[in-house]
Amino acid sequence: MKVPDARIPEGPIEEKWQRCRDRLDLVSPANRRRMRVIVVGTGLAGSSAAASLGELGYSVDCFCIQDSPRRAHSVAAQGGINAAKNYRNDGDSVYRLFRETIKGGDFRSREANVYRLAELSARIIDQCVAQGVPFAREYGGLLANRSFGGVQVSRTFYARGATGQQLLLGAYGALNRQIGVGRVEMHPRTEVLDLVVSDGRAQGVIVRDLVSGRISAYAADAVVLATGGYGNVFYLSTNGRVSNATAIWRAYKRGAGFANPSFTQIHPTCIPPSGGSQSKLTLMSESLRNDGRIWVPKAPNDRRPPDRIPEAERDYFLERMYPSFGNLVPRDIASRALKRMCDEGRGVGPNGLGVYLDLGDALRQLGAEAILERYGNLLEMYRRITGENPMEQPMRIYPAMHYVMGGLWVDYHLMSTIPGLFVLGEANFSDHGANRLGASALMQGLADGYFLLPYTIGDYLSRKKSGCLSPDAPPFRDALRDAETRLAKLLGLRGTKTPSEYHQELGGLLWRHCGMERNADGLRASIEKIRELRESFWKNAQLVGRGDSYNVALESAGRVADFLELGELLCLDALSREESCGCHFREEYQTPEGECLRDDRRFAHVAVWFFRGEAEAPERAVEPLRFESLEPVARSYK
Amino acid sequence: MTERNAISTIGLKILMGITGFILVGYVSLHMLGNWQVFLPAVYINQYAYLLKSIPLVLWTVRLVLFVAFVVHIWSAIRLAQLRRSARPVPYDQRKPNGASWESRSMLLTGIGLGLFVVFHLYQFTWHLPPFSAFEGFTARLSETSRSVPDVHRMMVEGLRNLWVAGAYLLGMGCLFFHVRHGIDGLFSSLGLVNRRSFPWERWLAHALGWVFFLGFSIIPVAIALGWVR
Amino acid sequence: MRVILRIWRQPFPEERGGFVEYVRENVRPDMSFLEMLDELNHDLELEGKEPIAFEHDCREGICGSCSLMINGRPHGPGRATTSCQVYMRSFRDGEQITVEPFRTKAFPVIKDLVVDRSAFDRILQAGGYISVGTGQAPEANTIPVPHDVAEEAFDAAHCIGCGACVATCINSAAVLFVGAKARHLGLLPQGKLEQDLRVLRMVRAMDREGFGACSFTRACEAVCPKEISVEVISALNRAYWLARTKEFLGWRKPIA
Repeated sequence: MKVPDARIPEGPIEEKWQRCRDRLDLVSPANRRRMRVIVVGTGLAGSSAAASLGELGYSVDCFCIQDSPRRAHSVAAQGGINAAKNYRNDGDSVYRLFRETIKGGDFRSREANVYRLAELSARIIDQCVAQGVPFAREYGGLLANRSFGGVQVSRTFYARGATGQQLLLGAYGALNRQIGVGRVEMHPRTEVLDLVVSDGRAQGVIVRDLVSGRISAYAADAVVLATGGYGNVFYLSTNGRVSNATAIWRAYKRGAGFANPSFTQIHPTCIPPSGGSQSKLTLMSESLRNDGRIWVPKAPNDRRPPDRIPEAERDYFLERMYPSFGNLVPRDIASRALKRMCDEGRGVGPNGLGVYLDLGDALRQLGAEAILERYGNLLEMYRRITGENPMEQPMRIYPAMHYVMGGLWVDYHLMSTIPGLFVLGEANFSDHGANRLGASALMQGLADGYFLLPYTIGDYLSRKKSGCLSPDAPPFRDALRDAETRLAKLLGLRGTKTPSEYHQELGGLLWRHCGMERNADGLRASIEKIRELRESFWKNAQLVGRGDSYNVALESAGRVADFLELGELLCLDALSREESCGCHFREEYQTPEGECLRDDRRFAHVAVWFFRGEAEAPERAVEPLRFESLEPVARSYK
Repeated sequence: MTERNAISTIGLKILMGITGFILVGYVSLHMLGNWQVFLPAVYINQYAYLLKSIPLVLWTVRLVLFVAFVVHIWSAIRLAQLRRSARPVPYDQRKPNGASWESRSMLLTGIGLGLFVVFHLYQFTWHLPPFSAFEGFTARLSETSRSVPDVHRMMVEGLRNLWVAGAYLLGMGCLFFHVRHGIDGLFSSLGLVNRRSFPWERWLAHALGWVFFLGFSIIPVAIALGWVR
Repeated sequence: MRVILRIWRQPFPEERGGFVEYVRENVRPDMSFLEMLDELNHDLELEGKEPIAFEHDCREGICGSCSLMINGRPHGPGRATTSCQVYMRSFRDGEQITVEPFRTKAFPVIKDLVVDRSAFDRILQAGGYISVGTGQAPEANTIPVPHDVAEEAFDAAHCIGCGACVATCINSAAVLFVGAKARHLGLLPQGKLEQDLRVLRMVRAMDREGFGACSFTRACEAVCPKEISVEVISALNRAYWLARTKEFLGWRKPIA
C-alpha cells in the first residue's frame, strides 16, 4: 500500500491555499441540488460543514447519534478558540500561530495544512460573531482575549467557560436554518454502522435508527465523516460517553488509511479520578493555568492540608522546570510533569493522584469577582463534583485522556484514501501533529467545516461523472447484510461479562501502557492482552434486549467491539514509532533531563495504517513530512 | 382560521392580563367608594345615587366590565384546556420547585372569586331572595329631595349576618391571592419585567393584594364589631 | 448507604409504563446519580434483564442530554444542576427516590426515562438563528457590542435545551427555552434585524408543538441548570406583541 499524494500545492507557503483554491473546479449552482452529500456528526466540524453545503445548494443528509445536533461533544469545550487577529498588539501573526502550532505538535504535522489553518483562523471569529456567538468583550465593546497553554501571546477568544457550547450553538443555528429551508435533512438518533465503498469510491452509509432499530442504506455522491475522536477507547476520558470510533473504524476497514493512531492527548487539568464505578473524567479548562499556580509539597508523602504547608515547602514544579513558560507549558509536557510528581510520591489527595492548582495568588491580586467572571462555571463544577470550594482551598488536578491527534488520513483537500470520503475535525489526523495546543481544536473543526470542505468537495464532485448509486444497488445490499449479521452476532452473545467490563479492562490497559509514558515491552504485552480480550469478548460477552427497538446495550456493545480492535492499532503504532515526540513518550527515547528525544531522520513522517483483513496484520505506510519554512528543532519551553 | 389569525398562547396571556387589569382598576375604585361607609350615611348614598344617575355612563361601564369578565373567563378556560392537553400523563411526584401557592392556584382562586362576584351581585345588585328586603331601604339625601336607595343601611344589614361576612372574607382571600399573582403575571405578559434584581412588579402585586384584602375586609369586620351601624 | 429506587419503566412508547422498585445497597456518597444507575444497569444486565434506558452524554452538565425527574424535581436536588451532576451525597441513607421521565405531550416517551425532545429543535429551525451565510461575515470588531450586553446575551445563550423548564411547569410551557434564544439573539446588534420575524416564527412553532401557556410561576427559573432568568420570558412577550402588532397593522409583511 502507498499513501496517496497529499495534493499539497507548490509555491511559497503563504500562497499555497490561494493557489489551491484558484485551481479547484466548481459545480454549477444548478447542478448542486442534484448532488447528495452525507455528513456524519454534528459537532463543530459536522454542523458547520452541513450548514455551509446546504447554503451552497447541495442536498445534504446529516446524521447524529444524539437526540439533537446541539448535543455533540464539541459542546463541552470550555476554554476558547485561537485566532491570529493580533487584537492585543502583542506581536501575534498568522506566521506565529503557524509556527507555534507546528512546534507545539513537535514537528509531526504538515506545514501547508497548519499554515492554512492559521490563515483561516481570523475568518472563523468573524463568522461566529456574525452568527451571534456572545464572545467575551472589553468595556469598549470590542472582543476580549486571553492566553492559553503553550503560547506567549493572547489570541484566544472565549465565551466564559463555555466557548465550545456557544460556537456549537452558532453552527447549530446555521444548520437549523438549512434544515428549516429543506436543504439539509437531519437524522438524529441515527448511528452509522458502515461505509459503503464500490468502484473505488465512497458511495454511502449503512445506518441504524436508534429508536426503531431499523437498518437502512443512504447513498450519496460524497460522504463526510465528522464523528470526533476515539478517546473513549481509554474508557475513562473527558469525552462524552457516547463518543465513539465506529464510523471511522468502519471506514478504516473499508480501506481508509488511519494516521498516527497513537497520538492521543492527555490533558493535565482534570478533576482527579475518584475510583470505583466512575464513569468519566471531567476536564477543568486549561485557561485556569493562566491564573492558577501548580504545586506539590516538596517532601514526598506530605499529608498536611494545603493551607498548612508553608510557601517554602511548596514546589511550583512547572515554574521551576520551565521558567519561561511556567504554568503555561503545552499539555503533553504539563501532563508528564504532573505524572512524575505523583510517581515520586508527592501527589496530593485521597489516592495521591493529584497536584494542587492554586488560585490563591490570583484571588489576592485580582479579587474574587474577576476570578468568578472568568471561571465561575468551572469553579462551580469543581465544587459540585468534589464537594470542595476552590475559592477557599486549592483545587486538585490530574491528567486525563482528552483528545486524539490521530485519525483517518486526509490529503490537503481533507479527502481520505478512499475517494469521495472526506474527514473533518478531530476524526481526521488533523493539523496538530503529536500534540495539540489549547484552543486549537475548535479552530480546526470550524475551519474544516466552514472554509475548507465547501471548496474542496466541489472539486471532487465536479469531476465525478456518474450519479450516485441507488440505495438498493448490490454494494448497499451487501453492506446491509454485513451490518445485520454483525448485529445478530452481538445480540446472540450469551456469556457472563458485560461489554462495559471489557471496555474498562481495555481502557485500563491502554492507560497504563499506552498513556503518558510507553515502552516496547508494555506495548507488546498489551497487544497480546488486547487480542485475548477481543477473543474473549466474542465468546464471553453478554448482551440483553432486542435489535428492533431502542437498545443502549446493543449500541455500546458494537462500539466496544470496535474499540477492542482500535486499541490494538494504537499500541502497534506506538510500538513502531521508535522515538518520543509530543504526547508520544517512549521511555527508551528521552534526553538526560527526561524530555522527548525525537528521531527526525527515521520518523519525520506520518504513519498511515491500512487494513488488510481480519487475520492479517495491518500495513504501515508513511507520508514523509517536509519542512520548508521551519527548521525542526528540539522543542524547548525552558 | 389561519395560524396567523389564531390567538397564540402569548396572545391569550396578554388578553388575560389586559382584562384582569380592567377588573383590578374597577376593584380599586370600588374599594375607594366603599370606604365612604365609614362616613355618615348620606355620603355613600349620595355617591351611589350619583353613579346611577347617568344611565349611559353606568351601562358603558357595566358593559366594559362584563366583556372583560367574560373574556377573562374564556381565556382562563382556554388556558386550562391547554394545560390539560399539554400533559396527558401526570407525574407521580412533583414538587412546586419555587412556584408560589398563589401562582399554582389561579384557577382555584379565580373560580372562588367568580362565585363571589355572582353572590355579590345576587345580594346587593339584584336583591333576590332572601335579600329582597333591600329593595325597600330608602333614604333622603336632604330634607327636601326625593328618596333614594339607602345603600348604607343595605351594607350594614347585609353584612351583619356572620355567614355573609364570612363569605365576603373568603372572597377577599381569593382576591388577595389572585391579585398577588395576577398583577405579577400581568407585567410579565406585557413584557415589562426587566430585572430580577429589582422586582418592582412583584412588590406592587403584593402591596396591591394586601391593600385590597385589608381595604375590603375592614368593612364587614367593622360592621360585625359594631363600629359602623 | 442504601437507597430505594422507584423507576419508571416503559418498554415502548405505545405501551403502558409503571414504576419498578430497586433496592441499592453499598452506594457510595461520592458517586454520581448516573453512576449509581450505571451500576444498577450493570447488575440488571448480568441478570439478563434489560437495563434502564436513560439519556446522558457529556456528564458535565453542558450537553443537555440528561433529563430525569428525580423526586418531583427535574434533574433532582440542588440549585443549577443537571441530572448528571447530582451526587449521592445529596440523598439520605435509606431514602426512597422516585425517578420519572420528563412529562409533557410535546416530549413523548421513547423508552423508560428517555423522551423525544425534537420539538425544541423544530422551534429553533423555525427561526432560532441569525441568517448569515458562511463567508458573509464582516470583520469581527466592526460592530462593537457593549460588555454588559454580551454578558447578558451569554446568560441567555447558555441554555442547554434540556427541557427542565417545560418538565416542571404546571402548564408545560416552553417560553423559558424560546425566550432564552429570542433574548440571546435579540440583544446582539447582529441579531436585532430579524428579531420580529424570529419571534413570530418561533412562538408559532412553539404553539404548534403543543406546549402550554406561561402563567409565570417561576418554577422554570428555579430548576434551570443554567439559571436562565424569567426576564427572558418577559422579553419574549414584549418582542412578540410588538412584532404581532406590526404584523396586524400591516407595517410588516405577514409571516406564513
